[in-house]
Amino acid sequence: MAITKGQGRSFSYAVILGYLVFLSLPIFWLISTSIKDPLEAFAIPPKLLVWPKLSNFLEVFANKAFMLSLLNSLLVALGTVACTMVVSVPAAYGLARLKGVFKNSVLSWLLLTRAAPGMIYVIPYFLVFGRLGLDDTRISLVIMNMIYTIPLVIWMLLTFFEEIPISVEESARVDGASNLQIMTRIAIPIVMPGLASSAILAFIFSWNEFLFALVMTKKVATTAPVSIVNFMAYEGTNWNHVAVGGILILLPVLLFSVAIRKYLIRGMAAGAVKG
Amino acid sequence: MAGILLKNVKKRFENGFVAVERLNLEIYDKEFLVLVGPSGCAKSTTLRMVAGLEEITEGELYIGDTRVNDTPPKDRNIAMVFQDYALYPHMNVYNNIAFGLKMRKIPEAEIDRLVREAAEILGIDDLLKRKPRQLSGGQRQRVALGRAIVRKPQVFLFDEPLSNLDAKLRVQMRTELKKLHEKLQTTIIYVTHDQVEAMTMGTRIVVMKEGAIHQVGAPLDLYDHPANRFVAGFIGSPSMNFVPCLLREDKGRVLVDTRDFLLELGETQAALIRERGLGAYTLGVRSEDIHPRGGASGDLPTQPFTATVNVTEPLGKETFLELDSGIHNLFAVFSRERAVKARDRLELELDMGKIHLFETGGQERAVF
Repeated sequence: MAITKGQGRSFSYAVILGYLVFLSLPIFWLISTSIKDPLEAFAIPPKLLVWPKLSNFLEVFANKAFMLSLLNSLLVALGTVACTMVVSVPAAYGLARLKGVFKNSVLSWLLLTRAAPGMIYVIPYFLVFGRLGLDDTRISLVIMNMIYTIPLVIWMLLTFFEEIPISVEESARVDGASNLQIMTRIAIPIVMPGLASSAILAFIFSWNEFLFALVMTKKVATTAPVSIVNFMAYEGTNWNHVAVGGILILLPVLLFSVAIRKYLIRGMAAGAVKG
Repeated sequence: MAGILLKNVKKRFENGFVAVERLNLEIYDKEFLVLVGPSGCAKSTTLRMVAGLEEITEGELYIGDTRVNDTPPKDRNIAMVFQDYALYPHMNVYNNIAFGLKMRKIPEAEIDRLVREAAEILGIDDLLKRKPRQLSGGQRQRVALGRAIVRKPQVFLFDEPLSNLDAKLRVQMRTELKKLHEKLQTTIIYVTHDQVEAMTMGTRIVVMKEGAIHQVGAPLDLYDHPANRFVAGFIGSPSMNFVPCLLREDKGRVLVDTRDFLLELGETQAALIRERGLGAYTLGVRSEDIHPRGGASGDLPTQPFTATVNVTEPLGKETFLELDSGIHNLFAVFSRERAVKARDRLELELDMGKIHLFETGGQERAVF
């Protein structure tokens, strides 16, 4: 039996809706659990509408260890983004203008670095940072995060830099600009959307990173994704606090992404078209 | 202001391809020199070597009296206008024009004066705050020009600057560029693949093919006295007609036998042929030198022949005709007063003083 265009479209919408519900359910659970008391959180049947209680939020805000871990997450994420961009932007620009076999080898090596699982890096870095006295420090997390964020940002920016017509840079050269001036005054301003989107992705990766933080930190430099585990105590798990912690971890990234989503889409789309 | 000298210049790319082999060219101060040729003839490569954007593999380049082979582009005192304009998309028009001056650390007040002066000359003073994406093609072209003229260079380099414009705008900009040259009195090297641009703009034209110069000369010199078949076919629109022929002697006369029709050469022409030798040649005749019988000018006797009109292309004041003389197809241009239609059988003659003969081998050089 032939399917009409209307039926096909309805089916597509139904699938999309189902997928959105599937994606949204955990977020909904997070929000609803954060504003319920413990009994309401696990009531059968589930209570969809409750009088919101902000006491869970106040209790979590009063938890100094968790609030410190949020601060650590922020500092590590910002530090990762800053260091990554300082290294990756000139690297991507150089690679974009490089020709020959060497370029392909470098790009392949970058890809392999990123493709390797985190466990490969954790143990050697744990030992090295331990010897250097850098265990349980934010700087160690920044360095480890850069293992993944540098290849990511270089690959993204490479596409953007390659899209700049060579004639624009040659024009700048004839106008008297040096190579550094061409990069900083011409190329980088042109690829600002790409810079923004890759910085955002690097931030999101670093903010959500769990494995490195779990192994490398103990107390001082613990980040929020690791710290939230502390709500799961021996005496029992305070799911309301876990939900609040989840929202506090999710919120900055969500707001950030919404605020600069046009750069994100432009950055993703440009990369996709070029690739 | 400066002349330019290219002495035995060679360009070999990294993959071994030799784009230019032993190029020798002198460009005089203040002249408007056009490099013209088909795609891949190395005219842009030559221009880029003058700009310093391509390294010269061998040979020497002088701008004025200074050898500049190893001088970076910014120190050669040249300005370049690119085919795609190459404007900085993130800067407004003012900053695009001012960029080169800022790189040279000119004081802000002086930059402002120079930018506004250039903008006024080009008629873009009301566009200074706009970004390139807000400009039309012609406006972008003017901004690219403004960026070049504001620096008052010794030499302007233009790399097919009009090829991205529509036909009407191209004609308008050609005139404007010529006027600019008159006003600025600066050496210009202009690259184009369009022989009409070359003919209308250059004080001298350099015709290139496959990295070599085939002829250098004033536009009408190239038109009337092409050095070889390639130049003859490239310069002029419509292209010159080429007919293979056999030159033979008959009762003291030198005859051009095309198998369709016979022509008799004048004494001077015959003498030149006798010096070179009889045999196979290529006859060249421009479309405007094919006339209805009785219409040819000049003192040399003409031999009429007949041809059938295949196609007529009326262009207003004149009509292009494709003619079938039997074995060969010829293109002629008649004035519109001469009413002609397809399948008409015409009696024709050639302006014998204006025909050309080219050798058939080697460089196919012109005999006359």
